[in-house]
Amino acid sequence: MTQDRWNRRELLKDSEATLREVAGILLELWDNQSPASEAPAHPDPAKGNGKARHLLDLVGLLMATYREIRAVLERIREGRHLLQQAAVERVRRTHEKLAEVTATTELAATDMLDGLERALALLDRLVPREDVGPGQEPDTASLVEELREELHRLVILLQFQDITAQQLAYAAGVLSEVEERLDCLSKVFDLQQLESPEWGAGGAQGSGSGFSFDPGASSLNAEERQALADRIFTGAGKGGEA
Amino acid sequence: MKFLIVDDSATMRRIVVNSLQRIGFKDFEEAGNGAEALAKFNASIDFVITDWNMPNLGGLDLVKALRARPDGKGVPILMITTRSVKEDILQAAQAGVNNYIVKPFTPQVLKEKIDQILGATQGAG
Repeated sequence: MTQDRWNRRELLKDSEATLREVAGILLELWDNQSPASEAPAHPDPAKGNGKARHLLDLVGLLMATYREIRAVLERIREGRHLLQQAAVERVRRTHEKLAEVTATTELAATDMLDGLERALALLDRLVPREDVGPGQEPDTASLVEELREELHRLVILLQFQDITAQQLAYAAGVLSEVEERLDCLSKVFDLQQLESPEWGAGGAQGSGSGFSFDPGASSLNAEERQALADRIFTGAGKGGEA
Repeated sequence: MKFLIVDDSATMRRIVVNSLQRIGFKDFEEAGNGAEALAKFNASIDFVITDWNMPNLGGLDLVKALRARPDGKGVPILMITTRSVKEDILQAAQAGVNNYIVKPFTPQVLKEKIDQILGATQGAG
């Protein structure tokens, strides 16, 4: 049992018992200070001396404190319920939506690739590459090649799907971590269980659900990032930057 | 020349194959992760193109495993990945990657890197 868990148990579970014990000791004090023959079983504050009145005031105060603590604990229970309903479940739904987006874009990218490859194949059948040359009308030859280039450019653009999938996987990883932490937080407030929450060590580190990803995946500044790789690999050959 | 293209994204594998076809290459083998690539790798593979982030053995471990094999020591390896942090690129270079492309790539860059690797390996051979 961890110190942390013990502290929570002390704080939450024993508060009632501790207060009752204090009240019991005070009553015992009252009994001990009054001669057995004179002391009533339940002191009457109206008839008692000043000390007795103070002790009874203190008991009353402690009982009021106990009632307040109970009310606070009830609010904590409500807070836990709200946390589970509003946060944990919402995060889970968002996570599912992200997974759906990934699947949908992958399917769409595959369909687009199929279409583009069919278009390129049709173009090859209509005008085989070897036929596009000196024998053809210059305009037709260049137009056909331009069309091929254009279609191929669209194929290349579909790389967005891989990059987006990694970005979404990263976001989903962050959400999983938030979900796990909120769940642990709600367990802290669970007065029945009082379990020690196991904070997740995973999170958006680059893998999860069998999918490996780069948390820094981006479509932006591709040329700059390629230039860095080029410098390193050129340097590696010459014993430079690497 | 036979290429082994390793990427867990089927879309990316098709894009790379498509681009290589445009350059004029025709023979390809595909693998969805490093473990599958190691199983498929044999003497008929002349060139490996691999991603970095993959389940079941990532690209970096694949490169190290290939370089540790007698038949994989000299095979040209090109890494195509989204990872563009300097430390990652250095790690790839140290593992034995011959050249490195940051996604999204252009067909021109792909051709340029393949030419560079083949030129260097032929020059060295």
